[in-house]
Amino acid sequence: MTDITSLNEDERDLLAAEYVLGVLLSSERAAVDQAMATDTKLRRNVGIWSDRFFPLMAAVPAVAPPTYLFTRLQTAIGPEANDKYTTRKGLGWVAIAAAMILAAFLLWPQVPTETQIATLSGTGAQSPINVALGHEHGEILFDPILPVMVDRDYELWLVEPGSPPRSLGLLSRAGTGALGIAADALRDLTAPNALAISVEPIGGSPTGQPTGPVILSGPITVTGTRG
Amino acid sequence: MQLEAALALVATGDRHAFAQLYKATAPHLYGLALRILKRRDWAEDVVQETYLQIWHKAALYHADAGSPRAWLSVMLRNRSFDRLRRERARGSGTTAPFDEVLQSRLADEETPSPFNRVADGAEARRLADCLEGLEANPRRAIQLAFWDGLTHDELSMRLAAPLGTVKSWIRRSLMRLKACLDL
Repeated sequence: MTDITSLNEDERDLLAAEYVLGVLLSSERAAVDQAMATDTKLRRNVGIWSDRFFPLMAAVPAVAPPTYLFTRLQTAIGPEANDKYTTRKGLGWVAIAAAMILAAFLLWPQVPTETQIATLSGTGAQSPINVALGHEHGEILFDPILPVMVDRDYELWLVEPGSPPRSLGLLSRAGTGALGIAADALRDLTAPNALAISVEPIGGSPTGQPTGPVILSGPITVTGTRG
Repeated sequence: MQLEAALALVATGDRHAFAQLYKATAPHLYGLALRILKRRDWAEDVVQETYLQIWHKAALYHADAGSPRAWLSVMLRNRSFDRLRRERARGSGTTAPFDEVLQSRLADEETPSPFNRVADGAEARRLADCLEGLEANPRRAIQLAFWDGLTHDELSMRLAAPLGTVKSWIRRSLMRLKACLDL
């Protein structure tokens, strides 16, 4: 790859744009990463392009990660390897305990234990499935009885009377398991709203609204006491 | 807490700030990883790697590197693309090629383009409009690079176009986007 320092301003800006777009080889990207440590102009160009493209990234529905992910991270940054602050060493364990309590508090989902919230049924041969909220994980749980698909995704929709359906995310293609759910969506999982599952192209509906057949739907039968 | 402040504290090894940063940003990053990788296990790995990188390299964040969310998102995307490329090289394709889906959408002019999923906010609307203004092939190249991290070589193969053509599609499209967004 050409020497980044020899690039003129336009070429440097294009390189920054390609970096953010995602088209550079991993080795080319590493060279840009390295150059950015000292090249403030390049860093600013990358920053501007990041902000330009960010609306596309922000438009992707947020999904609450499983809680064990944070636990794993806590372990990975564990006290021995990362006690960066020798001055704090004496307080290390107290600080860690405090951080863990805080983390537990921050991450404690505001949902009761597992509660069935809806039964979804379809018009075809598809059997009805039960939908429940997973205890302590902020997850929606499904009966694992949807047909396996290789070239389509199942997308779950929240339907509020008087509003267009809102995507709650993609189910596993095998139609099994759990779907992480953001706290603000969780609050809307109450009557009189409904849930629906449609079949969409890989990656989900291209329009933000259901485009494929709705194979299952049903009203949410609990009223809003959560959150 | 402001994300800038949280990042500054994380750079000093503050676990409390790290937990707050995670809480504020992880659902977005996990959603983004799922969108790119389309596999939960890979997305979890990449999110974990990204936060470890943040823990160790938060000091590298500068105010001129874009907004904190954009900076974190770009970091997550880069790691996702590395993973996707490793898996592609290993031949463990996860899904039907994206462009087949895209092809079928483009074939149907009634179907809004995938960029229409950007529906909220004036900025997002503007970006979507500017992307819509690109010609079909360059737009596909931008789309495939942006969502699937296809490199120039991979785009050339996927779109059956010479490498030089693909490179100029990308560069001209980026300059057109810049001009359109900066109007």
